[in-house]
Amino acid sequence: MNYVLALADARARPWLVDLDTVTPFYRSRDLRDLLEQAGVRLVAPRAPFEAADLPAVPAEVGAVLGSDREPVVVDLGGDAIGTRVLGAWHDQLSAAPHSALYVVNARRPFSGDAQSIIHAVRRLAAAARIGVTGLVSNTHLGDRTTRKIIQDGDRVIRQAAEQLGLPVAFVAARRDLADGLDVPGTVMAIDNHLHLASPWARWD
Amino acid sequence: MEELVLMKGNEAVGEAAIRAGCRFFFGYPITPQNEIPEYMSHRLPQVSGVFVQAESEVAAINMVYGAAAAGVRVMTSSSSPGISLKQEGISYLAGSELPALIVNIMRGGPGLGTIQPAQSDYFQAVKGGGHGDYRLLVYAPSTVQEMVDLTGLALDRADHYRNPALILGDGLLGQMMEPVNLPPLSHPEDLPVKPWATDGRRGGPKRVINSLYLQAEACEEHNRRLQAKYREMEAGEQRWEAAWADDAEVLVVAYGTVARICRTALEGLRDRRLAVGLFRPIALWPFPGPALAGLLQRGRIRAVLVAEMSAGQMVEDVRSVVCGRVPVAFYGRTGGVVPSPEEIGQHVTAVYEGGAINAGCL
Repeated sequence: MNYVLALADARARPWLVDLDTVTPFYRSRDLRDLLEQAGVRLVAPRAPFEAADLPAVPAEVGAVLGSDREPVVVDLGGDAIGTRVLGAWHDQLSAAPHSALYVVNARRPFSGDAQSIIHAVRRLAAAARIGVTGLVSNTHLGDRTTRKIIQDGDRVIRQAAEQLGLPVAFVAARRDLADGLDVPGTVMAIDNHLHLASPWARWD
Repeated sequence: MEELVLMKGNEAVGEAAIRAGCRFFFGYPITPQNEIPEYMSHRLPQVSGVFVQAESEVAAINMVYGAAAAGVRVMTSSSSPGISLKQEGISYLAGSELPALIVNIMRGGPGLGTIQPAQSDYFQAVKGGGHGDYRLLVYAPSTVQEMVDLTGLALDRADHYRNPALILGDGLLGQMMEPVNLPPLSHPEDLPVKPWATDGRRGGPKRVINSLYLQAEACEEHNRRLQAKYREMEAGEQRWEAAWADDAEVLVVAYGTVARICRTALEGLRDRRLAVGLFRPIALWPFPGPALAGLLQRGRIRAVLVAEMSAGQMVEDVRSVVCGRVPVAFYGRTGGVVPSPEEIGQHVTAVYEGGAINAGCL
C-alpha cells in the first residue's frame, strides 16, 4: 500500500492489482477512494462483489499484467495459500520484467527466525510459480513499534535473505522512526503506517 | 515467541488455546474465522496435537464431544451459520457436562447474511441456541490481547465447571492485528487429572458419559444438579469493566468491538465535559447484572444507552436489570455494518440531552 502510494507520489501512474483472495477485510480495495485520489489505478473486484466470499479476480488483471509501460504492483494475500492465484498468470509474468518481493514482519507468527522465513519464501514461490527476487524488511508492532524492534527484526530478515541468496530491497519504517535507524541498506519512510485503521481509532 | 508478537485475533485465539494445553481442534471452514483452523493446522502438529478438518460443522462438534469425554482440552471454531449447525452438539456437551471451547467469530445474519462483523448471535450464545435448560460460559473479548486472555480463562473455567465455554468475537476482532503478550506454553500432562474421563477404568468403576435418561425423575434430578452448577457460575464468574462510571449521568452499555468504539466516542464526549460513562460486560453469561445494578443504585445515572451490532439483543438483559428505574435507549447497526465513533457519539449526546428518549427511541 505504502509502496504504491510512493510510486504515485513520484507521478509514475502505478497500477495496483488487488489479488487478495483470502482475507475478508483490511484489503487494498477497502481504500479505493484514497488510492484513486492519490493517482493509483486500482484493479479489484467492484461492488457488490468486492466483499464476496469468493476467490474471484477481475477480468482485466491479465491485460494489466501484460503492460510494459507503467509500473504494476500486485498485492497478494499473505502466504502460500494466498499467492497461489498468481500462478494463473505465469506466462505473462515470465515474459515481463518483474520483481517479486516478500514482505516480512519478524514479529508475525511463523516469521520470527531465519528458518521460518526461508520455509515461507520457498512455499510461497512454489505456490505462486514465481521466483522471489528480494525481501522487504517490514518488522513492526503497530503503534508499539520502536527502532529496536525494527532493527532486531531486520537482523533476522537479513540472515534469511543471505541464506536464500536474495537481497533485502529496503527497510520499511514509520517516518518518525526512520531517521536514525541503525540498519544497512535503503530505508523507506512511511507517513501513515496504518492506512487501514480500526474504526475505534477514528474520532474527528 | 516470548516477546510481543503481532497477531490477528483469530491467530491469537489458536495460539492461546495451545498455550493453555489444548491439543485438539476439529472444525470446518467459514469466513471470517478461517485463520483459526488454518493456524491450528500449521501449529498443532508442531506440539504433537491433532487437527482435523471435519466433513461438516455437525461432525466437528461431535468430534469435540468425543475428545472432551476422553478428558483432553479441545476446541472448535466457526462463524454464525456454522455455530447454528453445532447447536445440537453443544446441548449434548452441556447435558453430558463436558468441558470444551467453542469460538464464534460472528458475521452478519440471519441466514448466510454477510461476511462482515456483527453481534447478532447474543441470544443464541447466552440463552441457549440448542435445546434444553443449559447454559454456556460466554466471554466477549474486545481486544486481541483479550482474545488471548479469555481463551485461556475459558478453557480453565470450562474444566473447573465441566461445562462448555464460548468465546463470542466478531469478524473485526478476528481479522485485526494487534501486538499481544502470550502466556507460557502449558503441557497437557501438567493439567489437573479428570477422574471422570472415559480414558480407561484402570480397574476402577465403570465411567459413563451420557445425556440420556430413561426416567423423567432421574433426568429432573440431573437438571437440578445442572441448575445448581449454573447458580454457582452466576455467583463466581461475572466479569465486567466500567469506565468513567463514578460521575456518569448517561451510562453506555456495550461489549466487544462496539464497546471499543463507544470508548473512543465517550473519550470525545468527556473532552466536551459530558458526564458519560461506559459499562462493558466481559462475561455475557453469567451477565454482570449486580454490578450494573450497583452503578444505578448510586442515583446519578439518569439514562442508559445500549449499543450493539444487532437489532437489540443484550438490551433485553440490560432492561431486566434496570427494571424501569431509568429510561433505556438502544442504538444498533445490523448486517455487518460497523458503527463509527461519530454516530455513537451523536446518539449518546441525544440521550444526554433527552432528545432521543423524548423522540420515542425507547
